Amino acid sequence: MTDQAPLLKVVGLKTFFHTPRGIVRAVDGVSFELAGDRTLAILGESGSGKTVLARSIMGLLPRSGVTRQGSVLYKGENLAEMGERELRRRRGADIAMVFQDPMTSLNPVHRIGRQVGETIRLHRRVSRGEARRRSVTLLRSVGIPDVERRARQYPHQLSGGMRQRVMIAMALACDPGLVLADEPTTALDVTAQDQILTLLAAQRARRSMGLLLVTHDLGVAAGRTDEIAVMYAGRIVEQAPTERLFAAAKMPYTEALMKSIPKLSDPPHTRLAAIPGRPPDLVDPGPGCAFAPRCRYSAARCAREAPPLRTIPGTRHRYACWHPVGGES
Amino acid sequence: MFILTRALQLTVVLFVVSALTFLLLDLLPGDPVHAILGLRATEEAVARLTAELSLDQPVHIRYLDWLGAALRGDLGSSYINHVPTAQAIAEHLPVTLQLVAVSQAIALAIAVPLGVYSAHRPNGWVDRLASGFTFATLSVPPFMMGVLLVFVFAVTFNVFPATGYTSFGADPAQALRSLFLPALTLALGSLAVYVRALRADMIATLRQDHVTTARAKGVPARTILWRHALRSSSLSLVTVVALHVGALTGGAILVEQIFALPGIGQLTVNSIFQHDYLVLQSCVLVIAVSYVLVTFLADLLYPLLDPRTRHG
Repeated sequence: MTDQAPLLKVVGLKTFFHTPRGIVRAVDGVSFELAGDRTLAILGESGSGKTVLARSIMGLLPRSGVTRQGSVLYKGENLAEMGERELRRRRGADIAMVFQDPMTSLNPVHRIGRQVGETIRLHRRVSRGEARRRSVTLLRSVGIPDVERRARQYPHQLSGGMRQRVMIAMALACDPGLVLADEPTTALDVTAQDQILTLLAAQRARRSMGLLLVTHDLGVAAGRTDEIAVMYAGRIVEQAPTERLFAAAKMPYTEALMKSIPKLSDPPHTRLAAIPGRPPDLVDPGPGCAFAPRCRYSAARCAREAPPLRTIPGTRHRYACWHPVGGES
Repeated sequence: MFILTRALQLTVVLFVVSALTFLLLDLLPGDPVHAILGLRATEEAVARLTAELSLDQPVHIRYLDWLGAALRGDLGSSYINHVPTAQAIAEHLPVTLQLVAVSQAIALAIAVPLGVYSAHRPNGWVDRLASGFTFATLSVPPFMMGVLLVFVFAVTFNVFPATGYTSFGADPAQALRSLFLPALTLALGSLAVYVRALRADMIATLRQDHVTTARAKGVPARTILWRHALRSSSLSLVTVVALHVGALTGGAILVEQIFALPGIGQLTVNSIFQHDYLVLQSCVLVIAVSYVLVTFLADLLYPLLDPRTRHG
């Protein structure tokens, strides 16, 4: 990421929802970069703004009642400034998305083959027959057995794992440069989870795409990512290469997340180290660090002043904390 | 299996409906004998005609007689003008069916786009205008609406005939012209319900995840509305259209009277006033059959619209 421009560069992205209760700061100044053939996980618990972040990048949020600031540069072009028509040409073609729940994310009244073919026909000038041939090939490449028959079936006739494979085939249909996967395995059982993650990783490598993997599951993020960005209350609070994050987390929230994973090596009846309290209200976050009320290291300064996101010199590790775990560097 | 169950249900419904109407008609004051002979007829003449029409028999015997004949395909003849009932129905039913068909074509042609765009931007100007307009038309009773339309289109601008009927076979263009005002009157009564039904289902569909998927694929908004959302949102609409079509087939009485259309509604009204039991009985039968048939057709439509209803 040193000499070549990043595939995706998000700068100061803010997404606010105007609700009767006040302004919800769902994404509150997020910046990050993703290189062309890497996988970045956006890790955060429910309500941390990670899904809104993914949808903001695609411009999929409703226009009314939503304020969006900042820029989203895809190959140097600012998606945030594009009109609906321009954006539509890129959705599905340059940037594709895989959603959380394959049970509801496919159109129940259209056949599988048609849904995959539709993406191709929207962005490529091909005949109906050619689109059908390509979608069959795609479905086969994502591991759907008995493709010719499956392509003529409706979503409800497929299992959850199979449907998520269809979603992935749809996302890959036009060879996008970037895939946003929003909790792609959360709705699946554990064996299907692993298969889908492996499939995504393999396709990402084969097509040398960028993959933004949004998840709440540290285990999912650990396995197949190059970097992890931890989100809390609409902000990135720590970001580092995956191995480094696990070895030397600086932000107490990241540390708490890691400690809250039960380990097989723990003696029986060990209390699970849950994070006390609840995620903050995003309507009126207050001036300090959003994690301070739940943080075991919090001091007076944490409640007064939000810590900036600082990069440790000579690394790709950044964190936002006044009292980092293990000291300043 | 499905069709068999339906056929069985249909038979039961028809028995119950025909028995009930026979009973109810018997309770009506007055009788066909006086309707035919006039109030000053001699007692002998009344007794003779009563026996001739078997009206001296108890009601259940008359019902069973009628039922037996009907099962053999003989619906009897009018007491009044001796026209075979089957022939009277064959003359009047097509008029009503054409009227209903044209009215529904008009209603859907207006309601579907209105419903779709109301749901596209709820509380937007299309939605508000549509809801105001359709509720205004709903709250005007059909006899008022009919007279109003006649005044505007027939009397003031003279673009459509006020009354009369031209057979579709004789002159299709003129038939459509003569059916337009009565059909519009009926359509305006159905419109509000149709728009509401479609709008509610569309709004629910547009909130679903697969619509977001379609947007993420780059599908244009118009395609999402018409090709992704409309079909799975049309189940309620199909249901209310079926109910309306069933009701209108027998119940376009007011509109047929206003526009002097010789439909089944007019036949029903005349047979009531003339105590022409056999004709009335057949009219009721036609109405019941059309109700059941239309809901049956709607049931067949559901699985075509939504494949999830096909299996179990």
